[in-house]
Amino acid sequence: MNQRTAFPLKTGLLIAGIVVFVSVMFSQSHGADLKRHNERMEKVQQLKQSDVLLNQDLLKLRFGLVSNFDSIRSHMQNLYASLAKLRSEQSSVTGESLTQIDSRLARLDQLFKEKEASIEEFSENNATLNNSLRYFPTLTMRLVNWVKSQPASESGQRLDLSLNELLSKVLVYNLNASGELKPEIERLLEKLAGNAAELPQSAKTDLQLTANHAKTILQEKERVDELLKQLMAMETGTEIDGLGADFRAFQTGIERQAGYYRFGLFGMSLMLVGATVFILLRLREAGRALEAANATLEKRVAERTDELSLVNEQLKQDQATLLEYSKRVEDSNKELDDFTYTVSHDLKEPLRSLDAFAKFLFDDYAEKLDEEAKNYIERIRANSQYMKKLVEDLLEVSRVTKRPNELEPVAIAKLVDDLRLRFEAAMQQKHVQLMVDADLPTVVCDRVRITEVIANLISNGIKYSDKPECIISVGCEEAEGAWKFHVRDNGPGIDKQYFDKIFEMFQRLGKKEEHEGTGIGLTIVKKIIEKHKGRIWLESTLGQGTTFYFTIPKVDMPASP
Amino acid sequence: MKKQLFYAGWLLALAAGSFCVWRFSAPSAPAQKQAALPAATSASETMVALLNEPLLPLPAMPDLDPRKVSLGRRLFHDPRLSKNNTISCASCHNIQTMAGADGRKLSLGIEGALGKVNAPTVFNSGLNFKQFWDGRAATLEEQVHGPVTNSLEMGAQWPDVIAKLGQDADYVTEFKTSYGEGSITPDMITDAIAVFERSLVTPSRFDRYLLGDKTALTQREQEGYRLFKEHGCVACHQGVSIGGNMFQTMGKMADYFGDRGNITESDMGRFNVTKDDRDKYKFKVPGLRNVALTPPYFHDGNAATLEEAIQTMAKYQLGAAFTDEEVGLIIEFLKSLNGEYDGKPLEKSSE
Ligand code: HEC
Ligand code: HEC
Repeated sequence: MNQRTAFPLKTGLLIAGIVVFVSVMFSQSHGADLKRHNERMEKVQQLKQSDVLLNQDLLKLRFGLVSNFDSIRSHMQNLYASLAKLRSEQSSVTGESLTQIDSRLARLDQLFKEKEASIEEFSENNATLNNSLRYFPTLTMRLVNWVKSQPASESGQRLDLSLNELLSKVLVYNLNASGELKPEIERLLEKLAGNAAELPQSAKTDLQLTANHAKTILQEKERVDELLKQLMAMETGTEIDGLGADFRAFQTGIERQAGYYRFGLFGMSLMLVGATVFILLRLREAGRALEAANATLEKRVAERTDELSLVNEQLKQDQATLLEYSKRVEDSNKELDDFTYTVSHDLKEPLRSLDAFAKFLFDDYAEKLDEEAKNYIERIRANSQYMKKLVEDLLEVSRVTKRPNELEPVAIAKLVDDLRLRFEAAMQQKHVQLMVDADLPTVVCDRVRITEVIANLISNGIKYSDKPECIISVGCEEAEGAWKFHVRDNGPGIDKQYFDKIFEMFQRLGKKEEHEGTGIGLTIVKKIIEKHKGRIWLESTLGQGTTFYFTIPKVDMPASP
Repeated sequence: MKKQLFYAGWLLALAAGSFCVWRFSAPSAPAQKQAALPAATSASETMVALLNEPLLPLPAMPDLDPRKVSLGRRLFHDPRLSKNNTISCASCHNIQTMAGADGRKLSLGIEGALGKVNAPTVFNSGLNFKQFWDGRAATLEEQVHGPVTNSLEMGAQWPDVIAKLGQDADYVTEFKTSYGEGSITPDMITDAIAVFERSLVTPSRFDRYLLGDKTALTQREQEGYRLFKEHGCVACHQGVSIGGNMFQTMGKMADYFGDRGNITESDMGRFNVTKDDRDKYKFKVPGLRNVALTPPYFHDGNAATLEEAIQTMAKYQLGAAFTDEEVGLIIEFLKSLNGEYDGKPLEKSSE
């Protein structure tokens, strides 16, 4: 039972293990989501694009190719939006790359903040510069026109020339990357300031304003260009490229790892396929083996069945033979019984007449016969009487077998008392005492026959007694639904080897001459007890005595016939 | 039975394995897809950009949830957003009669508290790159928090405001339809108001002009625009908002604050946010749309009229002096920036 429950548990664990293993492999083999990666890369691209466009617009702004800041603002907004999206995308990145990308993003954020600050400054300075650049030529032209409107004079001409020179130099200075014109312009401005004294008030303020704007341009241009250089040099581009590289590295790393898992999975699947094929083959084989085994089994069973029926047949025959045989035995027994009876019966009559005639001879011719003849006649009579007894006993044996018991309640105590009278003389002669238990029961049995049994046993005891003080005791006890009687003597005892023999016909212990009797008595006793469905046996110790036991099953009186 | 189970397990594992192999064994190489170029700008915008105008027409009205707009409008006009239920956003940003401002030098807040700066218009505020004179709020959403909890403006606390609004069944249902289940949060309120503010755009004749309708402006207005560009106003007042896209020092070419005197903390402008000395006296360049309707001018409300404001600009920002004629022309141009809202031209009631 234990074994049975343990096995499915193991199988279950095995299956669970396989399932877990496969699912882990499966989940790991996903790799990084390619779509996710592409999205990330797209955002990086957008970031880069915004940054590039921002730089372009900054340059354009500087050279007046773009004249408003809105585009810068929107690029900046896009940059921050892309950055924020990338930050939120970070959750899809794991492991080492995460920290790297995290710090990269932080750096980019910082860089953009710096860039924004620079742009702020740039926007202000550039506006001022542009303002002055727009305003300076207007003012200069106004002054030039004013000069031209004045009556021609040498100082006017000089002013005109200086103003034109200033205008062209400042405008070139603005477009020139180097600041080499700066000293010249400063000198020109000084010269113009010197001229101012001669001018009327309105021209003076105009000149003052013009100079102010020129100075603003000198100053702001330098700052703006510096800022622009700074802005262009900012490593946002490289950092963005770095970010892209980080993402790509992460993706390749994951892809490689996933590749291993996929390989593992592939291997595992191959194993599984192999195992399955193997199992299927085994199953088929097993199926076939089973079929074969089944076939043999069937054949064997059939064979066995055949054999068995044969044996059965034999047995039946044997039984029949046996029955036949026992019937024959019975028949022959009966025949034998019949024969014995007939013979005994037929023998009795001649024996009686033989004895009678011998008596007549002895009585009627006593005087005429001598002593020797008398002796012979005596011998004839003794032998014929013995023979008569023998025949009677034989007859009795057959009678016991043939005649059914005549059952009646028999008081055994009374029965034994009667027997005591019968054996009185013999007992006195051999100094035998008969001791009878006080509480002998009343038993349903054949009175004549049971009397015979007990008489026979007592007479045997008397007959073989050899002690000066002989005791024969008769008793009874109840045993398992039967009465168990015993007849005990303290005679010579019987050797164990004769325990069974003595119940056979014509078996006598001791020499024939020593004890009279036919040797049929115990045979009759046994037959009677068996007829009563009882049992007879004996216990004996040589020199100490013998106890005969016999049982008579308790029966109710049969319903009166 | 157990044998069948065992085989079933094997088959399952097999199926899973094969599925994996089938599904994942051949990953496509990471596509090095080129990011799409930014969406092409509309034809008119492109045209304008080609002409390289420093000023840009208003973009198309953004796509806004009309339910949120109307909810935002209600909130904007609801005095329950203030501590004692007396002041709404509209108290200082009157959309109907004051072109989104309050017409005062310094605005009057809760219990008559005098504000520290002049209230700008809320019209087109969605186009500003940052909010407030000093740009301390990056977005409109962020900005809304300011006045509600400002002790000089509405002086309220969000939990109180939410409790008050929560008692209004209409609000509760309106918030539910716009923001789904759940109780009202400050974020919902600021979002609704911000959405409403984004709807406050005012297209004008000037936009039509920029978009190619040369008859949209009178000759004098066009002349004013030319002067506006020529004198370099566009260096600072530029783009869609005609301002609102950068910070600039007030008093570039001359000492505005020295001349005015009585310098306050608010005069520090951007410095108050960044604490960077270079940012002292810097302000967000205000957008000039509807400017003719929103006197007085500047963060300190020190210029009562446009003439004054323009002369101040000329002197302190441009280092120039304009003739009255020039100023008049510029004013005419600036008036062409007055826009329409809800199909009606914005007004300033003259009281
Ligand atoms: C007490 C008057 C007052 C109230 C009430 C008020 N504001 Fe203002 N608002 C101002 C002032 C003053 C400023 C400028 C403050 C600054 O820049 O520091 C301003 C600035 C703004 C700005 C920035 C505009 C720009 O161009 O920078 C917006 C937008 C705005 N308010 C919206 C609102 C909203 C929405 C409410 C209601 C929640 C509101 N205001 C309530 C006075 C007020
Ligand atoms: C150097 C940048 C710069 C230039 C050039 C410039 N402005 Fe300004 N403008 C500003 C700043 C900054 C403010 C806000 C100042 C403040 O509030 O203190 C402003 C404010 C204004 C205002 C007030 C707006 C309001 O709502 O309060 C008007 C009107 C204005 N400028 C018109 C002009 C005109 C017209 C020109 C050209 C003649 C011009 N500006 C040139 C930067 C500039």
